[in-house]
Amino acid sequence: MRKSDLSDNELVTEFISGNESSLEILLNRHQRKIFTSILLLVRDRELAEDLFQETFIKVINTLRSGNYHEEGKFLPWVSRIAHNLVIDYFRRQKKMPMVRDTDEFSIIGNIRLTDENIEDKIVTDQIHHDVRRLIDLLPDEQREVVIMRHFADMSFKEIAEQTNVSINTSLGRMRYALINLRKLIKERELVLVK
Amino acid sequence: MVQTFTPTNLVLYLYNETAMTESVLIQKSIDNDPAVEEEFECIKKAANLVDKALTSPSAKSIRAILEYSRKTALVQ
Repeated sequence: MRKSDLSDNELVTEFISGNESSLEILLNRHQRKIFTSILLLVRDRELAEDLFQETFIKVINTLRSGNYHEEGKFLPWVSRIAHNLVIDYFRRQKKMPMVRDTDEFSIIGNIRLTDENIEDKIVTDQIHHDVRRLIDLLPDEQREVVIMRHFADMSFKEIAEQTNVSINTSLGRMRYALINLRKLIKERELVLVK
Repeated sequence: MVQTFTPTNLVLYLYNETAMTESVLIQKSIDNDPAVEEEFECIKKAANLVDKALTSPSAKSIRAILEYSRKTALVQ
C-alpha cells in the first residue's frame, strides 16, 4: 500500500510515532479546503496565510502532546482549530474583517506558467476569485454554513451543534445561501465556466 | 404528487445526508414534479459552484509548517 493511500487516522498515528512525511501527506490532502475556509472568513490573503500556518502549528503541537481524540474526523477538527483562531484574531482586533483586494495577483504570482496554459490558468483563477467574491457577499450566517459544509466536511448535525442552532435552521441557511448565490450570478451576469 | 418533505430535505438529499428510504422518495419527486426539479437543479448548480472557490496556500506557508515540524521534532 502506498503511503498516500493511508487514511487520515493512520497518517496521524504515524506522525505521532515520529514519521514526519505523514504530515506532508495530510497537508497536501487538506491544505486547499482549510486555507480556502480561512480565506473566506478573513477575506485577506496575507492574514489567511498567517492563520493557516498558526493552525498547523497548533495541530502539530496538539498531536505531539497526545491530546487528539477525534477518531476519523481529522479535517473537521483542523477546521475547528482554524475557525477558533479566526475568531480569536477578530476578538483581539475588535473589528470586522476588511477586504484587501490583493489576492488575485498573489495567486498568479505564485504559479509558474507556460505560454500554452497561461490563458487557461488566468481564466481558472478568475473563476475561483469570482466565486469567492460571491460567497463573500452572503450574510455571515449563510457564509459560515457554506464554509463548514463544503470546506470543513462537517455534517449538518455537526454544524448545528457548533453554531448552537437546530438542524433545520442550518439547513435553511444553506438553502438560502445556495439560492442567493444563483441570484447573484444572474444579477451580475457572471459566466463561471471555461 | 403529494409532497412529504420540506425544501430543507432537498438540501439534505443534495449533500447525501438522507436515509435510503427518504432518498428514494425525494428522487421520485424530483423526477415527477417540475417545481421540485427546478429547485433541486438550482441548489445543485450553486453547490457545484462553491467548490470552484478552492484555492491553495503559498508554497512558503507549506515550507514554514514542515520546517517547524522538523525542528520541533528534533527537540522532543
